[in-house]
Amino acid sequence: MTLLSIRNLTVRLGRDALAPTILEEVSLDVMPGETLGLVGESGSGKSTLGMSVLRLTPPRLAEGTSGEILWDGRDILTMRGRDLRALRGAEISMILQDPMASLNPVFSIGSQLTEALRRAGRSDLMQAAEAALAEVRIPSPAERLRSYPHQMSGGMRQRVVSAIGLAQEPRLIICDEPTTALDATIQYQFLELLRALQGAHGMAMLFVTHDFGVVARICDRVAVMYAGRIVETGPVREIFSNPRHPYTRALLAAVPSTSTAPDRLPVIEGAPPSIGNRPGGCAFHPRCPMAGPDCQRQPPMERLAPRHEAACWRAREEAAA
Amino acid sequence: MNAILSTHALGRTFRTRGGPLHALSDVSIDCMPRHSLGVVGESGCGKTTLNRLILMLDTPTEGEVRFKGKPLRMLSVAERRAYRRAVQPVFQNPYSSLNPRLRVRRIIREPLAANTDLSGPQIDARVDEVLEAVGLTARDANRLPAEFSGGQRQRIAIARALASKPELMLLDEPVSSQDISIRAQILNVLTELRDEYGLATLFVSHDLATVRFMCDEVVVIYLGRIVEHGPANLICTAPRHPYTQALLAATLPADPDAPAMAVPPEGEIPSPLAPPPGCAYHTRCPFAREICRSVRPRAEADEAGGAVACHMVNQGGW
Amino acid sequence: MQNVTFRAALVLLALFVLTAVFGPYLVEHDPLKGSLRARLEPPLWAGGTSEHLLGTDRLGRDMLARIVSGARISLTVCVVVIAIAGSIGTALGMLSGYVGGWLDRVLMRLVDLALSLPVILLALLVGAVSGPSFGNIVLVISLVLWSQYARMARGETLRVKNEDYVDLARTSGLGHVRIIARHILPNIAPALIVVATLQVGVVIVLEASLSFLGVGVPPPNPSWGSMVADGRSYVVTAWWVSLFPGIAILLVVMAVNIVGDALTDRINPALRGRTA
Repeated sequence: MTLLSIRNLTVRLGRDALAPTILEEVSLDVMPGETLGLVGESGSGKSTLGMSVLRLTPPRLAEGTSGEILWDGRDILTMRGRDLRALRGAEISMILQDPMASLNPVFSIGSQLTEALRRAGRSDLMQAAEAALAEVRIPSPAERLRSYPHQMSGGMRQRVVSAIGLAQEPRLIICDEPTTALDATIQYQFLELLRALQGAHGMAMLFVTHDFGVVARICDRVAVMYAGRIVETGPVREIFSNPRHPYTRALLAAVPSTSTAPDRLPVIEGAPPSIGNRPGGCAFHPRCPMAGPDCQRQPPMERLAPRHEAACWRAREEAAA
Repeated sequence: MNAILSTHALGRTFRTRGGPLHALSDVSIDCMPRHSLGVVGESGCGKTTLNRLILMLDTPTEGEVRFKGKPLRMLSVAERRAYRRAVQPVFQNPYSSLNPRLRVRRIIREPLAANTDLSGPQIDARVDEVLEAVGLTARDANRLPAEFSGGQRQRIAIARALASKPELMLLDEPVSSQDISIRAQILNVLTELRDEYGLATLFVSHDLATVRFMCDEVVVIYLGRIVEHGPANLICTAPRHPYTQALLAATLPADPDAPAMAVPPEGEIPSPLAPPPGCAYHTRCPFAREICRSVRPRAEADEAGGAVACHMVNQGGW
Repeated sequence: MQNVTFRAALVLLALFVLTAVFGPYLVEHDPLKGSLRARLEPPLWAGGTSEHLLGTDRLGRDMLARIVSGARISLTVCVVVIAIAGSIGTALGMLSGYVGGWLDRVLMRLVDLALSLPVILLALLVGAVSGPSFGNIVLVISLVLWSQYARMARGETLRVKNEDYVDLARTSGLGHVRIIARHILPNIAPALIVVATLQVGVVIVLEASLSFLGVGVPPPNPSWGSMVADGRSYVVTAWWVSLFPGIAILLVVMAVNIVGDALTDRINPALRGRTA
């Protein structure tokens, strides 16, 4: 029933067992049709996780990858060239933060879109391309087919990328901060579009972001990452209303809101550790207000409610005042 | 009370190959002592141009910026030095705002050496003082920017601004390139310093939530023009201009049960090379009528101390 | 592997500089004096004597002594040319990038002009008019090479000029000279050092070529280029006269280029391949 199942994924900077780790023992499931948010700060490994699923990490990281990424019961990490190519685009596609990284500047939107449709086995290419642009709500799609990427705005390009990504009806789309570069009103429109597309096509989404507002808007479930590990995962409502990991609690509290103006924002002292300088035990313990001696040991992922898990020795305690 | 800094019908038009680009038009704001004003808008709205005009990195094509009532271009050499001490900027990207080849001490010294008559030892003492004020230590003065994290770099940039004992800090998106946990730290440092030193702030941002936290009063800009201004709590809870309403609804709260936007804005932000006639927002506004397409609405003050430039609001049209 | 090559190149380069600086004091023979009785003696392993390890040329001058003092000439030309071309090119390039406008357009056309100058023809012309001299060769090479510094300095200045710390310095009321000295020059210096390193090889080859053609360092000074030219007519009978200075040029230029490429990669990978 699980669409994508990541098991004990560890990614090191190179083959050496002592090399610094970017991801440590990450396990995660994505169900068909659901949107799973992957939240974390810079250096948490959230983008590497997204890239690993399609084996798009740089060679040094690919060498240092161990664990399993199961798709239909087959391990993506052991797939060979042809199977991997069949997977990319057709089964799993990707939307990146910078749409120009996915679009080729020298070809028109139409030719890039029809290429993807041809791979999907469509024959009525031009009509299909026009329909695809219309579906992502690009105004006057017929004319737009002749445009080049640089003639469009960031929001429009991101829509084109989604149209291309959807051309082969993938079952999973990995979105890596697709709205970070967009203005608020354009981001809102794009998120609405993604929700509508998901309703129509039923694909699952793995949504990498640092923005809890985006998570709240679009995700069904969320996994919070810190220093290369998933520290808490659960349904969005549960995580927002009843966060159990001190990092999740502190992070949610630190987000300013339009509805209140406190004198001070609650903060997490210090900065997220850089790769290679991660503290032992629970990586969050030096910044954690609840830390105790037992936090020198890595806490296991513990089930707190049917779908809610957290990796913290204090997950069942209430926060100190 | 007199404004430290004010702009009067400020405008900047760039000549480009595609014709005149009206980056900023008819912007009048006042920065009062100990007061924090927010300027909110999306990319291309003219926030950056406004900053550059205030910082004398660019000159206006219409209107003027005044320092304590006197137009910038009329300032004497001594007054100009005083202005440069009084108004200090903090930019968005602390990787670009700190010269990687200079040690922190020299970075913070620069405005002091240029615009004050302090002696060498006095400057050094001031450097140590401001570093401690932003949560760093005097020892950090001898390190290079590369040795610091993004959050610490932004603290250094704030220390530099603080060093000349300014009256007004010009904060240009100072936290938008920071991680969430760092963002809250920097915002707290800024509000603490503001309260401790009695600073006025002009906070430029695209994010209404940080503006709500930082500011008393907010100005909303769309395509180079002010569309609404008012107290921060009203702008962020009961905005009146349709654009402010859209911006507020698009500022996603960290709450999955928050209501969706009643009427999301349509379409794209038009090019400032060809701004729509009448009200510039009419192309995206769900309430636009005939008059909005032809007549530019004037800002009308209301009883709450704000003003809205919208025909529909001002005529009670909806 | 790459590291081994780089280190070998670095050692070779150090050897070249040391030879150029101290070598002439260590060899026993005078590079300019020969004895006709000992002319065209082969190197030690090809039937020569230990008196002349690398043999002698057609005037009986010691090859080893001449190669060692040739190294000094090559290095001198390099240092002088790079100092002149580097400072002029950097100054004009920074000015062009910093000021912009018509000055930028004029200076850049000048750069195009300099790049289109045929070095060899120019040198032949100057040589024909005023005879071969050290000054001429430095002048001609500098006249062409300054443009590369100018280009690099301009591009880098445009990049650095957009950094916020330059705007901050302006808002502090700093003058242009101080902005350039404190904020621009230190930040464009790494790229210029790379250009300079890569040019060492170019200068050595140009100097050698011009000397080979007889418009470079005037005889009897032992430039590697003129030594190769000297041996031309004896290549079959006395191959060592041309071969040894030729090998010297090859090794030094190769070493310089390897070190230059490595520096480029280390300082700024994006610049790779942008310099001649």
